[in-house]
Amino acid sequence: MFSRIFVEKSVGHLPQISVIKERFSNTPVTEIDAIEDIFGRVKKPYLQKRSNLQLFLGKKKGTLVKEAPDAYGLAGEPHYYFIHAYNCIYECEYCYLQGYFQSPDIVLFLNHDEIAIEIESVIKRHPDQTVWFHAGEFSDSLALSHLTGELPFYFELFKRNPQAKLELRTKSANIKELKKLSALENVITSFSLSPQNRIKATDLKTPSLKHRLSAMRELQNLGHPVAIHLDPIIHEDNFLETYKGLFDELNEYLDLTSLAYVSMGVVRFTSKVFHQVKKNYPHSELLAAEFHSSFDGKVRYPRPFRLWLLGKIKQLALQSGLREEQIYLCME
Amino acid sequence: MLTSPERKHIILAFAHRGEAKCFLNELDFKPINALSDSYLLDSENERLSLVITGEGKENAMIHLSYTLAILKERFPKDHFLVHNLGVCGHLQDSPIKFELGEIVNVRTVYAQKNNNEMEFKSFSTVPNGNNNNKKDSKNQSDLISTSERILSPDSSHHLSNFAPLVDREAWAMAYACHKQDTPFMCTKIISDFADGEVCVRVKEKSEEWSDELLRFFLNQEKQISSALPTNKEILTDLHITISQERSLNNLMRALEIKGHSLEQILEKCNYSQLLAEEIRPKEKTKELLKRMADLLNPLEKELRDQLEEATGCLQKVGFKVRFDQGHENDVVHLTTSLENHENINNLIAGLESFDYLKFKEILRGRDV
Ligand code: SF4
Repeated sequence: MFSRIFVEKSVGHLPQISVIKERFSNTPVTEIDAIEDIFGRVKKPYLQKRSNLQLFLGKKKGTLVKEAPDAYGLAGEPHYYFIHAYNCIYECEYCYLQGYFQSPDIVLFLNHDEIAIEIESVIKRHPDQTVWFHAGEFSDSLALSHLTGELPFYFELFKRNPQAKLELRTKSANIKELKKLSALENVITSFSLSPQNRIKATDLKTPSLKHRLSAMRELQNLGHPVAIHLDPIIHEDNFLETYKGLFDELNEYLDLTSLAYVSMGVVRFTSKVFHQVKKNYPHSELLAAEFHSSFDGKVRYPRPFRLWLLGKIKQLALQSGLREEQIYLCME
Repeated sequence: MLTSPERKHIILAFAHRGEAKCFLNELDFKPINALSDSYLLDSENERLSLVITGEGKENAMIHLSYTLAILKERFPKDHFLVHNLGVCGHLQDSPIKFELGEIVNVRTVYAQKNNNEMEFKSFSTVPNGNNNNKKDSKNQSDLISTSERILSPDSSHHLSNFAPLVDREAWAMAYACHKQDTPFMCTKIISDFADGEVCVRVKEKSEEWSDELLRFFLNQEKQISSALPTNKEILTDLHITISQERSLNNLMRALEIKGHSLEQILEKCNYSQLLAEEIRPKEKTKELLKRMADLLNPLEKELRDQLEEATGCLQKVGFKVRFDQGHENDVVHLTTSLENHENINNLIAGLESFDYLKFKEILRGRDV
């Protein structure tokens, strides 16, 4: 999986390092002073993640918890995200991480204790509100959780702080570590889903829809709160039938009425990311779509299509048994 | 109707004459007039040039940029590709190990700055039939063009965190190609361990290495040619401006992604009927582009038709109708000119019959 592992001296003593080294015993390991001496120092082509993906392990410096942009999650409640990793093992053609760090290499930050201190101080700043924390703004929250081993730590943290909520957002089906933990009402695992044909066409290397649905069912059966992101919604010729099929499958696998929420958002890119998509995936179907450069510089469908797509999906969701209050539309 | 007018033109770029020796001896290169250290081999389907740039990033950048510019001017229709061939060093602290004499296709080229820091800018080579993304980090590897000829152990160790190979010129050549929008390829033979032994070895073994590189090049030439863009097929029946040609190519590419072949596209756009129509050639091209855009964007066409219908009453009385870009607001912008009193009544009648709520519904995503 990794062609090389770089370990910062400051974390060399942590038990997680031995676990990772053992797991990748054939991968060369180099000790370094600081991740930033190497990572991001040169522009490494994004698609080298296919042949030359490196892993960096160290400590995150600077701000560890950040306020989330407006369009994040349910409106009216404060949203924050914390950064415990950069980059992702999957390869969705629309991923905004393309070109974000100028390197596709995976960075895992292991100073969770320091992240926890910041999370608790944010909670204290909002004594009368439910504060949301999102893991995985720059990575997938669960894909490598069997290696990183931080989930029990965060479960403990949010057990101590029941007034706050944690969202673990993923496209993986890697629930091995989650299953070992007792469910908490305020820790929600949210799965980003698309119809299987779209997963195959654009969400390269991600688990199949069926795998993800099975994982979601297992979690639901264990009492873990589960949510869904239907995002990004991408139009195609038989769009209504494929999404109808998706809702049928959701109904087959899950109790939709007990989902914590279902969010819906239509595909959009910053112009920088769209440029990367053109460069990295010149044959992608995304490049034949009816996108326009929008009022805020983002590349997206014209507004009537976006509203039409959201309206249709919402209608399908309601017909499938979801309640109005479970659904929120991401209008970004 | 379809023609392919261009020729492939590979420029072989070497830093040292020794590296190019066997190419010059074995292939029928002729010196190029008024270009020092540059040679040309002209054949019916393909041109091959050879340039010797001299050592170091500055020499490589200046000499290759100049040669490229001159050759592009002399052969404006050729499809150029620059292939740098030569020796390189191997950093022994790197976890990827190579043998002396091994030949490597370079994947990404980095550079060391004069102050020993890394240059942020990097350049990717084009795949030469061996896909660049292949899971084979041995045949495809990365290289750093260093600013020093001999590396200290510290410097060598630091550089090995970024790539296993070093040379002195490839990055500058790649930069020159990038500036002139020319694909770049790089093949190196491992000559030393960047520890100072190189000068002695180059003298002893340069002919052997040059021979190896020539052998490699001749074996790979077919794949290398395939890395060049395929000759564009253009519609010669049409009068087409440069910007229209760009739009045409973009539309073709997008429609091909959607699974349409060129023949299907032309058939669906009623191309032969369009050619027979008695309109100006310029108008024909415009119409073809419109038909292709409609084929590519059926939803947009549907929306346009609906808006056309909804605002028909306004256009009929002389309003020019315009909408916000991407229809981000429920707004219709109207402009008109008044010439007499009767106009006022007409405009009022037009405005009164305009159904704004219906118009708004369309913009709010009513079934398109
Ligand atoms: S799973 Fe998310 S982070 Fe990973 S590649 Fe896909 S979009 Fe990017």
